[in-house]
Amino acid sequence: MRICWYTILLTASLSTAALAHVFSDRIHNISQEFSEYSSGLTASIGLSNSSGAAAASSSLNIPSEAAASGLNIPSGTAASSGLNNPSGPAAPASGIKRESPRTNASLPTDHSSLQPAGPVPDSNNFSGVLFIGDSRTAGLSEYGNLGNAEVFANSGMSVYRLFDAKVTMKDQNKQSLEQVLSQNQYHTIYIMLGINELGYDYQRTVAQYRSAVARIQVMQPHARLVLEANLHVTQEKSDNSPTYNNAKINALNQAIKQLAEDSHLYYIDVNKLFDDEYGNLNTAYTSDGSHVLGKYYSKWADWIRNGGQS
Amino acid sequence: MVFSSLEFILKFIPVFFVLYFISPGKWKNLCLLAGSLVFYFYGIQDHPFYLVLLVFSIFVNYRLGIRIGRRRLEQGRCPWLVLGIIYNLSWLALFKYSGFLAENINLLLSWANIRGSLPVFNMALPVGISFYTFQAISYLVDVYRREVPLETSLLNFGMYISMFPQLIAGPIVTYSDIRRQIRKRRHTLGNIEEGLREFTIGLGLKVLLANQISGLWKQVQAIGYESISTPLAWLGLAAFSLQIYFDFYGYSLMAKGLGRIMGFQIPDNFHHPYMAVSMTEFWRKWHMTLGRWFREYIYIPLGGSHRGNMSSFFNLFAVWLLTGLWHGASWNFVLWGMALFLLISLERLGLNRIFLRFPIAGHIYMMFAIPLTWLLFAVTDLSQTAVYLERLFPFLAPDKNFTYYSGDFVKYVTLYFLPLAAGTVFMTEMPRKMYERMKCSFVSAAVLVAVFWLCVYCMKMGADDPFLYFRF
Repeated sequence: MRICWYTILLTASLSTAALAHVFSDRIHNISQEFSEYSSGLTASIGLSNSSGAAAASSSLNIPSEAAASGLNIPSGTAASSGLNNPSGPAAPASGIKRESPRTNASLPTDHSSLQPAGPVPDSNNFSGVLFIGDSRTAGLSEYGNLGNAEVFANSGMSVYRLFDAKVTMKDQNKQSLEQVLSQNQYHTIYIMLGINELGYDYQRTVAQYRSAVARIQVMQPHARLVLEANLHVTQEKSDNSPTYNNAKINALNQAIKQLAEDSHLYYIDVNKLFDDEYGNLNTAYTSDGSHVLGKYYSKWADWIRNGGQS
Repeated sequence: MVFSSLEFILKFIPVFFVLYFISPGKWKNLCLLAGSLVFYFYGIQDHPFYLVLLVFSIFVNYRLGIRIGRRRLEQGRCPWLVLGIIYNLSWLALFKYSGFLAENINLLLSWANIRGSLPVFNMALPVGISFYTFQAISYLVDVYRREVPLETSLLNFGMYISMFPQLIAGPIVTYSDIRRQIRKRRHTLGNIEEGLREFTIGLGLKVLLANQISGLWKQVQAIGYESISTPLAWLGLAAFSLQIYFDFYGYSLMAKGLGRIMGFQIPDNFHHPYMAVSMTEFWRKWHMTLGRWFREYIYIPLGGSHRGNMSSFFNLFAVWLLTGLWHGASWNFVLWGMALFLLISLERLGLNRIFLRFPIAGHIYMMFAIPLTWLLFAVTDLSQTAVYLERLFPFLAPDKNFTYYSGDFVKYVTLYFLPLAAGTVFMTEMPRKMYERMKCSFVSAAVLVAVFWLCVYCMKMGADDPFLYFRF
């Protein structure tokens, strides 16, 4: 009689998974004890301890609806009022102290001479400029004309992975952001990040964003930083997604704007270009609801080139 | 509930099959009926009326079947059949085509400068209505033609119409396909093993191939057809062709597997259609149960090819017009149907003989015919279709200047190389042949377990499931 291998294997693996799921807490405790034990062991033997990094990354929450629902952004804030109402969503942002030791010790102080949030027109075909961002910035570099700018962007880039990611740069080499920042001095750096972090806890994202900006400032003390607001999504996408909606995007943009004001950095908001009258991404500019069509990136790039004010 | 979702696989299936297998013989059909209705309800929670509609339709068709089937005399049966067909098609027309019809009437009115317009209700389509409507009609016609005896048990009839493996997205199972199995079927470990294997293969095709490839076409849409290079335009269509095939093929295999576990022989829907050398052959291998339905219930009743050339072409025209419309209430689908009619007619007039003699020519022909016809299927807005054609064939618009990213083709080929390559391999007959040879071995079981868990992982990571045949 032929043995029904697949039925056996599948049932066995499903049962094991079910048991593991039911007893997941116990297993988690056991594995934590084990890793503490083994790290204590290796420390006492004198081996280099790389478990610190592992522990740090394991404390990152996988974006989940549960994490997102921990946000207490007042849901009554309409998308359109998000930008004009600093007192609402800004409250949680300003509640965050700059408690990370790196930030306090190394904040450069020479930005007071620059105009806060003023126009930054480009006069040199973006030479000496660096763009950092996610798929929207990648789109800008591919479909808009960013001239001689260097671009550090890929789809999925987030403030949590910013310094771990490696991106293929203009010279065809894959480099990390640290390498890029240490090899050249830029006079202007544009940063547009935030959409891919909407599933994470808001406070942690803002804190992470701030520390990323601070770290960039340390490595490029003479560059002026331009923080860019994140692009809105269409009303349809916003209404149907608990994670990727304009209320959350506006809250994050508000925190970014606050950071720009606090640190005397520039802040530009592209939503002026592409919003409809309700503060959502205008459906005429998009097909998928969260990116503009290829042909509009040149409009976006020109807008940046002209200073990023309407 | 989608088959390729975690709640279906890890919650519904274990619970349902445990209940099903512990039910004593006579109660299994009831269990399947109840489970199917629960399955359906879960999918249409926002519109509970659709469940009422399904149950009501089951009841109406059951009673009509009795009326049509019990009469000894020929007279008096036909009106009941006509009534049944009209009843079933009316719901379909209401939900699926009334909006389209109203829009076009309004268009005509405005062209004729007549004031006033019809209200356009674009209602959400009850899930599966296109499939179960056709199933019910096939039953009534088969009973009328005395090809099958009528189903005497309401429970069994309800189970036939609503059984969850094929309720939402086919295959379109006719009553004669599973008539005997409704009454009596074997529940053996061998069937369970076969069924689970088919299900897993289908799941793998859907999650590991179709879902992964789907990102490419989505990207092409997000960029906008005006801003893609010509190579990317072709790559996009190739990706869409693979995506729609593995989506639907995977789903049909999952349905077949689920049926097999319970002892049903659900018919095949696909037989390596992309290996066909002509459109005629293609449509005998693609969505086979739909082709069968149109042949049995439209083409043959109209006269088929038995009444001369002119008549055959008219009958073909009717079939393809209706096939196009069945796929969607929009002009691009009509155009798609007409394009297929054109190709199939040309083939009938002589091209077929060439392709059968020189298969290479047939394959080259299909390499263009398949993606180009899918273009009509994939893009609803015809002005956008025109733009896409200009990108595919730049000589059509030599004066227009399109800006695009020169590295786009390389970027997407690199990004999607693995699923595209795997898709190209799996559209041939080779993998299936290899699998059949090693089917009973432990190795194949181990591979399938790995495939299963990889699919579970992908489902957990990704939220998107763009099942294209779902708006039916």
